[in-house]
Amino acid sequence: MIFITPKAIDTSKVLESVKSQQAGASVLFVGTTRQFTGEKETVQLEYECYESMALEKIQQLVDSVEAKWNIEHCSVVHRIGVVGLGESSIAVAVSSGHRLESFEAAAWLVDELKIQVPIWKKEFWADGKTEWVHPSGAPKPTPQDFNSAQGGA
Amino acid sequence: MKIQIKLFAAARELSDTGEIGLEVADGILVKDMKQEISNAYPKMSELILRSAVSLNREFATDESVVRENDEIALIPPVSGG
Repeated sequence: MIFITPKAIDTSKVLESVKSQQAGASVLFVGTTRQFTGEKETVQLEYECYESMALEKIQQLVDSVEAKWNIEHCSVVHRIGVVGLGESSIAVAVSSGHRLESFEAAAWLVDELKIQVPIWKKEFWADGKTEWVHPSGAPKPTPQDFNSAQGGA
Repeated sequence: MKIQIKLFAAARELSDTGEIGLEVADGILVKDMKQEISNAYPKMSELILRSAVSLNREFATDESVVRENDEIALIPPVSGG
């Protein structure tokens, strides 16, 4: 299951989507809007994406996960638009025969998504200011980076 | 050749539009196209330096060649998740 939605994410459905009788483990990662980043207070986040490319990039990451780890299923759902405090912006679920593969694959996928997938968030701070988050010094996504992420293919 | 470039997030807001059109030399390189966008939209210059470019929904390098019917986007540093 891979999709991008403006609606609230039903995280239980995302977890349900990776169920398998061959799986002895399922991991669900949920990213939520955090109120405080250091001293700064967030009132809401707003996400925007380049949808066609984002979906292709997420599919490539899922393909990579399936090539690198022995897993049963992998689902990724990302929300766009306004995401209030405590609400979920992303849910990633992975199932596998044993827990290590699911833990590793889910962590890797979320790390890579934050580098490779064209989705952006805007902070709405409590003081009324807003700010697109464009991290400086972050690893730049390139075809080379993607190939090395795939294991040097 | 005439090209269209999709803009997102801060780039979209700095230029007040989700897509810009530019007239550039045939076979222009990505790095030179980025310079042309900077020249046309100086407000975006700093962000363009930190941004990637995608061609047909795949990340390009500075040396990639831009073709006339490519789907082009400026990809500022991403912050999904």
